[in-house]
Amino acid sequence: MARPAPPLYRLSRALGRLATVALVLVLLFVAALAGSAAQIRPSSSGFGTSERMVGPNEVGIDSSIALRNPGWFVIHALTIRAAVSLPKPNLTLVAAGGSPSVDVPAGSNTSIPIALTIPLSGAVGRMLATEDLSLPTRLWVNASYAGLFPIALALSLNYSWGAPLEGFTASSGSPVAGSNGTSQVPVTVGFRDDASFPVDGNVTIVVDGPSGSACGTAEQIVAVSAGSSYAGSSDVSVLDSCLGGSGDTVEVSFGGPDWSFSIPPQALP
Amino acid sequence: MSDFVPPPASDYTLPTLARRAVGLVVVVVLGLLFFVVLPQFVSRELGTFQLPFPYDLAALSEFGLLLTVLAGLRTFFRPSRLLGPVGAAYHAALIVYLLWLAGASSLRLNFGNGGLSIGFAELLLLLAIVPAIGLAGDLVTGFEDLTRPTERYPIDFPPKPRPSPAAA
Repeated sequence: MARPAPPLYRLSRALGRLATVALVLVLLFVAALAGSAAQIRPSSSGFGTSERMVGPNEVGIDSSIALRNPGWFVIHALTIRAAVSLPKPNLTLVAAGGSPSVDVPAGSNTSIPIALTIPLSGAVGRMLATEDLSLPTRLWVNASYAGLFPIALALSLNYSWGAPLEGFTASSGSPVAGSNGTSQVPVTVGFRDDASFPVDGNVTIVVDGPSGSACGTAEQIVAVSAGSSYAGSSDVSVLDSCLGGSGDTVEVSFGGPDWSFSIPPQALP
Repeated sequence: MSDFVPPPASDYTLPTLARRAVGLVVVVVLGLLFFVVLPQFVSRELGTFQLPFPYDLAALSEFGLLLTVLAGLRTFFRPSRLLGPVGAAYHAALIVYLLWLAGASSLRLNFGNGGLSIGFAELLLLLAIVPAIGLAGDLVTGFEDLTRPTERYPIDFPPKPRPSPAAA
């Protein structure tokens, strides 16, 4: 009759078998991870952006990336950081933002919101308000797959920026003599709203004399939907005695509920 | 411990030196393929995809060689008291090897407008559980061989069946 295996021998053998089982389980786990990770795709709804005024002289860019994770493991702490800068040679940082930390559960289709704020003030803001630009954008995506694989993705893209006052121009004509010692200064304002939000507000035209004092003003009410153009003319009534000839200028500014914009004074012809 | 009676030599048949040497050679060849040749192959394959291999290939080969030798010796010393210590040394070295690999464990893929980096340190640490259990088993075997010499031989090396008188 076969003698029973000694206890120490059985313990040693059991540990050996346990190691083999652990190896098989780890290999199966890795295979499942690889198979599951291979199914992760951006959702068909993909990547969308929208712009809107979010505060005084600030445009918010809201975007989202929809991610389909049909596998068996969670994508942990997915965060996206974005930095937008002006085109070369300037490359000034215009905006930075990103997403909150999001967990993408297994078998889910999750949208990750990304928010950026672009200022429309200062020299950079003036450029962004009036010029359509292709803005170099850097994206950093960090996540951990199944808590085991840290993933870091860096991408360089170009963001197509549509200026709300693209090609903003104000042209003035020579004063036309009127009655009672007044003249009419014709001023034409034009731009195209290439942003994805409407431009509502007033265009204020001020004709200044040589001393800088206002001689006459006019206002145009602007309500331009996204993608539309605007062209408006005003005749600014001024006292002839206020104007001085060569030092006369015209100032044009735009003021809306959330933001304002002005161009440098131009000399009257 | 004092009541332990070693099994009689007739209860087991230890493999010959030649057989043990053959076992050693087989394990060394397999070990070289796994620990030395495979990393070189992986490194070359990654290179064809412009993926940098994250490890020093020479150091990896030297470490792999050490593991291969220990694995071979473990096989060679199976019918001896050295099985436990050599096996423990092999598994301990394997744990150190995996921890060392985990230290620089990320793959970086560069493409036109960016790059992707994937780390796998945690996976290697998870994998280190396997040799840790093996190490525990070897320590038990070493203890058994120390306190109850030859106790395991009748099971590990059962006696060759004797030819029956009828056949003779």
